[in-house]
Amino acid sequence: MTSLNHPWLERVAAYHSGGIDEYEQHAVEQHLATCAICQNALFAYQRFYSLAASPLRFG
Amino acid sequence: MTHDREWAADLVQETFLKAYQSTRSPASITYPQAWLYRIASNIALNALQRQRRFHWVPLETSNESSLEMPLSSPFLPMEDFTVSVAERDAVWQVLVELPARWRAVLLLQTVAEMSVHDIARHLQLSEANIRKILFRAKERFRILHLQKEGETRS
Repeated sequence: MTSLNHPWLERVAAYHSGGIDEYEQHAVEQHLATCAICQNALFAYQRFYSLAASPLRFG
Repeated sequence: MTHDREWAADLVQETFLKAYQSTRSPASITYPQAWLYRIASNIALNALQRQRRFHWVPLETSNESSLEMPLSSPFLPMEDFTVSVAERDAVWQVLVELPARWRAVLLLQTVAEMSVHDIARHLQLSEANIRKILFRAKERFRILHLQKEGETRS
């Protein structure tokens, strides 16, 4: 398993997008606590959103 | 104003997004066409001004992993003074590659800060569809970013 096909990534992305139920939120948070791939992915998603919110500012 | 059809389309999209985000009530806008035109002109002028002020630094001519932006730059929030070349290229590539409807979904969440639920309702798509689109866009960025970081290091 690599960071390209990690099975939790879609759930982490949904967690990042918001609007998931509490049970799913808790499950993802528990997984995030122990998975470096997902921690890095979440950081990348956060960075992406921060930059995509203002693409012309740095272009 | 732009002499570039695709760029103009992007600016029109930005115009409608800005109008949508506006706190003004529709009833208070006497001349909606003039109001929209004013927003569009401002957006186009700002974009043209930014294009003149900034230029791309190709990856191959830069050995630095980050670009130090001037503190006086009016376009960067405090947390974004340092944006790596890999990040900037990856964000642009993802935004350019996305189909227009997907880009709209992404911008509605990142710029308009709308929830998945509201985007789904607004675009008449299912929440599962919206999540799928957002997931693909985020993954595209993450993978491009990993690739470009690798290229920068090698």
